[in-house]
Amino acid sequence: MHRRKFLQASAVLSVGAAGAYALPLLTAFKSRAATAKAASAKLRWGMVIDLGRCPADCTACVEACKTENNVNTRGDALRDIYRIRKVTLESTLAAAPMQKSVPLLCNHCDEPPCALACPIQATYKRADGIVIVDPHRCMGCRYCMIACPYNARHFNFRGNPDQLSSAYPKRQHGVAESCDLCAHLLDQGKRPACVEACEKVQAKALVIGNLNDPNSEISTLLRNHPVKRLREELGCEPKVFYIGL
Amino acid sequence: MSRHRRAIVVALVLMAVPLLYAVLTFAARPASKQPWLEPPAPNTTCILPTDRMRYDHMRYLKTLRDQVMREGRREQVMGEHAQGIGSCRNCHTHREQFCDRCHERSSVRLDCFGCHRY
Repeated sequence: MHRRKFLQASAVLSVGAAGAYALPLLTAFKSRAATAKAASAKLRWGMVIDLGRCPADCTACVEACKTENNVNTRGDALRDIYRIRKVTLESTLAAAPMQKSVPLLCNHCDEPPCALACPIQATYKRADGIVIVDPHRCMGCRYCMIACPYNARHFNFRGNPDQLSSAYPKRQHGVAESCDLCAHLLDQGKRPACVEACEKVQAKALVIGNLNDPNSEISTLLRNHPVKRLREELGCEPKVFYIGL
Repeated sequence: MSRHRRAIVVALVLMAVPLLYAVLTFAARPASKQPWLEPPAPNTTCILPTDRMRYDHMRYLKTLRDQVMREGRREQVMGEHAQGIGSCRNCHTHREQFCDRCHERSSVRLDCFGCHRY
């Protein structure tokens, strides 16, 4: 047999064998895929934060987030993780002194610098605009933390011992973490833990919704109020809007 | 010529000895024992036949994982036909008597349960 013919035959054989092995698996998954509903590009999740309604001493959203997502906090200021946190902004202008309590979270940019920086696509933007970390793939290089202009990313310097919510997995040490707008709840048609908690304390400062739907609560708010986004000039098109910033 | 032939025969024998040894030891190996697994809860059916699960469970779990993480298709995992890694526990109640039996035996280190609850 000529060498060429031998190589051709072995190539055909190996492709055939691989196909025969993979076929049952592929068909099994395909039938599932057809019925399942994926994160759709018709949705574009965004958040509006009304600072006028956000009391300075309230941390309901922070606490609710911790519980829902098993966030790694042990009172160690250097290593604690906050998917949502509250900071106080102060104006130094003598003419207009002011003090505002501002919740900060991942801004779910349309052009996420963290996803650009991630060398292995562990961080990426879903079809519905949520920027999410895949902890299975994250290798802990922390490039995303450097790239994020909002300091919204945190690193699990240690594994998480706390299982506060049974529905959501914990994190092991060595993965980056940030707010994912409680994607696991949004996919089930529920609202993120922080939004629920904010409503429970009668503040209703946080509003989540579909930016693509002109009739949604969030779109109405955006039409009727002057809104600002943080560090808009960077051009990463954040989707968290602040009223009264 | 005959000198060459002798060299070839010697070389062939030398090569055949380890091959023969391998074949013989393989043929005479003791029957491998499957590790004992905790039997599933009675009157339950797995999502796939047992032998398929034995070979393909990791591919299956990874495909589900990517569907959930990448595409947000959560129905199979969170819905009534729960099939994520946590739902194995519905029938195989103890990880120590299920996952760990085989993986410890084959020295496969599992990363799943650093985060996922079983």
